[in-house]
Amino acid sequence: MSRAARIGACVALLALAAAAGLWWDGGAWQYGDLPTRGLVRVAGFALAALGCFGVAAWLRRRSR
Amino acid sequence: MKRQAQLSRLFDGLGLVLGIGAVLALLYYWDPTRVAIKRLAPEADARFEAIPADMTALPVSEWLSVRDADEVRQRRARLAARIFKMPDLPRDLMPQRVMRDVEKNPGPHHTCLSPTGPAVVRLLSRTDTIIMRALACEAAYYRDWRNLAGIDELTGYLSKNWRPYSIAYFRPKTANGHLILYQQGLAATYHDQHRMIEAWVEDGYTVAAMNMPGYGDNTCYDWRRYCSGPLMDARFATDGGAAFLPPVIAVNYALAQQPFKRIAMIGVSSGAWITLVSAAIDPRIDVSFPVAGVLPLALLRGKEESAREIVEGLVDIAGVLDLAVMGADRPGRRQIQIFNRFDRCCFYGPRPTLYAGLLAETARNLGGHHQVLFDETHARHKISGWAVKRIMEAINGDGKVRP
Repeated sequence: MSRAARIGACVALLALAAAAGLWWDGGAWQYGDLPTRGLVRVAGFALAALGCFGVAAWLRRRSR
Repeated sequence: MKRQAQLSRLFDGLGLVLGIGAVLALLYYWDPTRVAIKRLAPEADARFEAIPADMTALPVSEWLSVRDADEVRQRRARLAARIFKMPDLPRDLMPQRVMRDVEKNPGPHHTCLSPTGPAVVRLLSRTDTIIMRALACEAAYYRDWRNLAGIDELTGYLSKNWRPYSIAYFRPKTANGHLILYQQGLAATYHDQHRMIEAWVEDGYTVAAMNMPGYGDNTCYDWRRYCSGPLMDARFATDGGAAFLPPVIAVNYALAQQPFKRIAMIGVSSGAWITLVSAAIDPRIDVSFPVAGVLPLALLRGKEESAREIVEGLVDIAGVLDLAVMGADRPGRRQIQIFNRFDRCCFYGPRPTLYAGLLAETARNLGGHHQVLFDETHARHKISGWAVKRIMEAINGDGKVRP
């Protein structure tokens, strides 16, 4: 995994962890400080980002 | 080889963009950062901080005509006559039907439109099913709430093939002697506020939750359950009856079960308007909290105009400011109006500062207490944790509300 990908994956993971924590802390519902819809959006972006980094790493391994 | 290297760089780039998207989504949805974004937006000052120029010269003090207790009594009687076609509140009117413990035995009911429970229903359901969530379908999800003894459904059939009402009456096992009437607004049902109601029940509050007419069970969608019995007295078959009778019946029913030390009413959005009128006409409501709604009609803008029809038939008797004072007209009665300053929907900004002092002074002269608060903790159309904290302080009378 490239350095940029590692940083990107860390950012995505941190965003996901922060969102999950804030959602849970706010009561884990739509009317909390972070609504359930917001958690789902953040999770969607973060998991898609991690997926992309994973695919990139796999392609790099195959090309060696 | 070269193609795979290019592809891997492409996926790395896409991953970076999506990672940044995750951070931006977090900033967009989290209340504190959303408020910061709203404050930084172009024209934020004009929208959220300044009173619109065309409103500064309005004769606001002339809109308040109720000044003494006699006047309050007269207006209250006229409002009761207009809404209920009788000279006083129908204080002896009980629900036509009471279904006990619907969380255990919901009874026969129509197919559930949103049978997914409170946690994910907003994500998985269409809007037209969200606003039709039925107590018989949802009550089972509340069965395991701490301190919940049972949920009673109080119903009545107001107008033929059109309007029933349904009230969810949450009984705590250990009650603290306080009753909370919760009135949901439009585009939602009280089921969306399940966490808030759960917390109240856990703390020992008895809660009567109500939807707006046409929402949840306040329709004939479940015809057999709500619209197949005998109709109530024809005088209640009006829009006013459908909107303002359920809170009266909820109080009647509650007081027939047990005495209460304090009765509070909380309403959000359009529910704030129902709360405003209910507190004005029913002095048994000690403390009332219209949240994210309620402005004098001349101050309404854009989509706020849709609230006009709720009180339009009443304002020739008592204007919005009169109704506010009538909800805080004697010692022990209090009204706190809470506005979301950065509300992305409506009722935002500092417009209520035009008359907040006038309401406070008039209520004080009558022996009551009126206050306007601005919630600056979020930019949504909701009751926030901050607002609930202020509300509970006022209901319990154990803390001073912040200026």
